[in-house]
Amino acid sequence: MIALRPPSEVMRLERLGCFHQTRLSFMRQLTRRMASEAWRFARPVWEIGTDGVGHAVYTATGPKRTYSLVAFAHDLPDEKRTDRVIAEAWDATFTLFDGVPDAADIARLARNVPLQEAGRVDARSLTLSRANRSTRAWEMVVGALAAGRQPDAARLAEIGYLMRTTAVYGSGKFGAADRESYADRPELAAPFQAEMLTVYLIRAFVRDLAEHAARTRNPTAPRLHDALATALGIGNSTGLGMAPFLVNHPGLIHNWIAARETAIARIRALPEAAPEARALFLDLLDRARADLARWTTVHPRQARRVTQLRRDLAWLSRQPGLLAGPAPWDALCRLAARLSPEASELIHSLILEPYPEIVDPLATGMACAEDGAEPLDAGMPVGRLRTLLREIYGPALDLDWDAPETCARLWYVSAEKQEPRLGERATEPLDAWEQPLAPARDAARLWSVIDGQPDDGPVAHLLLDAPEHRAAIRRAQLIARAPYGEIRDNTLAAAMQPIDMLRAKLSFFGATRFDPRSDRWLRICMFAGAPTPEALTTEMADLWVYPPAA
Amino acid sequence: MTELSLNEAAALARKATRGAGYDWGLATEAARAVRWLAMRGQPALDALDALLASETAAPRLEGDRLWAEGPLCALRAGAVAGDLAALPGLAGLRLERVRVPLLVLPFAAGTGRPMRVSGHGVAHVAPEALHLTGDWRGTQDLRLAPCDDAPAPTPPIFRADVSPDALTRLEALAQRTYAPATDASRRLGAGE
Repeated sequence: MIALRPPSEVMRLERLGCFHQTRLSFMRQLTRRMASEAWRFARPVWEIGTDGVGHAVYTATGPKRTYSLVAFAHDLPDEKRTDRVIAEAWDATFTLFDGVPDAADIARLARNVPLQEAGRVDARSLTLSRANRSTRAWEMVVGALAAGRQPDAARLAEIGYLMRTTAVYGSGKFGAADRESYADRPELAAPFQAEMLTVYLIRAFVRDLAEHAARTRNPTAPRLHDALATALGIGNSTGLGMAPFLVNHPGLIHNWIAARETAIARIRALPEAAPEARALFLDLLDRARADLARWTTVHPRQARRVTQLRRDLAWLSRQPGLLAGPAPWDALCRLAARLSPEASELIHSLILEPYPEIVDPLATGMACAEDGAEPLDAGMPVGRLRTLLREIYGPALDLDWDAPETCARLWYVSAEKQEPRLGERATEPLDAWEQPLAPARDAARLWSVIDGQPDDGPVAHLLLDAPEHRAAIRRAQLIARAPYGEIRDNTLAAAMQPIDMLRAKLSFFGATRFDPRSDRWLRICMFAGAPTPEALTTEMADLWVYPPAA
Repeated sequence: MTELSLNEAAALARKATRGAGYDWGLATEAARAVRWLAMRGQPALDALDALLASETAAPRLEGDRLWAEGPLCALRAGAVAGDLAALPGLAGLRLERVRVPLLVLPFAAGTGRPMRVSGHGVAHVAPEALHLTGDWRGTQDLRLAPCDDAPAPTPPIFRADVSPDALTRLEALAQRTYAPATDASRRLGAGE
């Protein structure tokens, strides 16, 4: 038995900000399932004019149900294109429809989906999304095809996608179906499957739309070569709006991270590695190294990390007798732990690849049905609560939470944009609007209240006099059961980098090529390398995330 | 009536309760309560609107009696009653003059054992069940006691209806949780 890495090690922001996708990632769960169940894909509707405006429907049919991406193409003027989640017009807008829409459904969706937040969908919509072109990549592809040739593969790979989404809303947003209304369907039981399916179908639509635009310019324009289309993903811009999710869904986040850590511990515990397992790992390590060439970022902190990652992986692959000794995966992880967190976390993700039979069953535990509804244990003795707080929050309980350096930042939501933002407490008068996103501070406040209280009284009596500590008590009780659900860092610290929180979540989606654009937002790529719907087979369904080393 | 998703209803309840001056912890309890009631077909957001529009007080405990000088806040009293009812050995509680008693029921349901709540009507609750008769609006005295027979689960409903007037008022309260924009926040907040 190998112990799981403790939350005090894993749940630090610096490490979370170095997480990589794994076999458990939600995109890969989706493509594996669709391939193994032989899902069928079709495009029953393509009503897009020579002006690039209109709508299309893409269907994905599994063993029991059909889901339809309803896509609206708008051909946005250049000056209206923005990465921000806040915008009023997009190149294309989408909803994932539960079933197959009829003409009346399409007419209703056409009045609402293009408006996004200003429109309204109903429970037959599972997601709501939109995307904008990468102007450069779009012209590169459409221009080349219209000229009768293929675009330059290397230059296209530098960008990596033709369109990027600025939001993929699910779970009840803007009237859509709540996740719990469909979470009992096997194909949507894992987290974010409806959202991932949306993006996968958007990718197919975007290729078709680019080819359509080329044919409009030149009716004999060729299709984009399959190899180029496969290499392209869908980009995504993600900002601060995603950061509170990690704090607000501790039970769910615990299940994600516990699944990965459990998988890592089980592989490390293997006494030996079969030659095929070693060969697959070394092949994927080579492919991951080659793929680093496609990981471009101008963000200084991330650029340094990628450079160091290259060096670390080069060093690692030079080590003699890698995986040759006993307990080879554990030995490798011990070696990797001496490298940068980027390299260490990549290795911890990679060792899972040769072992689908050990790793993949853990995916079933990654959802969290009771997310947020966990009951408070009112009978818990105060002494037990005290022990829990010390175990979970440790030194954070002893910080001076009124000191400017401890609570330098604050999270708030602006009236103008209704999106989470991060402010400087000392210079911006925003305290009245602070969001509850600092569990360690709240725990420290609770700690000071229970100081001197008798150990054997139930927390129910404590709450009679101090009801404002209800959330902190509930959280400590939950984290005791879900220890990977709490970030073991100060989310108000001056040096805190929100992109670390965003990356942790995006890595579980299966995102790659993290490209921070500031400390608060980043671009990523989704489904780059994934087989197109018509090419999705069980052989191709899984390791697409590592392109051939060439 | 306007139909919302459960997540929309819960998010609105949380923000509106906070906007009405409650702390975030109780605002989150209000969101849970609204979600639970809406899933059982009850007019949860209209009930919350009625509560937030009223002057109410936090409960005091004397023996088995929760009371205040004025009408009791159903959220505050519900949370306390739910906590106390979860302790071993409790025979029952009396809640005096509870404003919008419907909002007490989710807390009674969260105690881990079936409970019977009686006022002008009778409610039989468990974590996944709500069976009720009578009127649960206005201000009522309630009795809350554990019972032996577990009620049959109620099939969940995944939408929440709210009247247009209540929706408007709740949204106005929710607006108070948003910080007015400043030049600094425009420039720095989202990290351009």
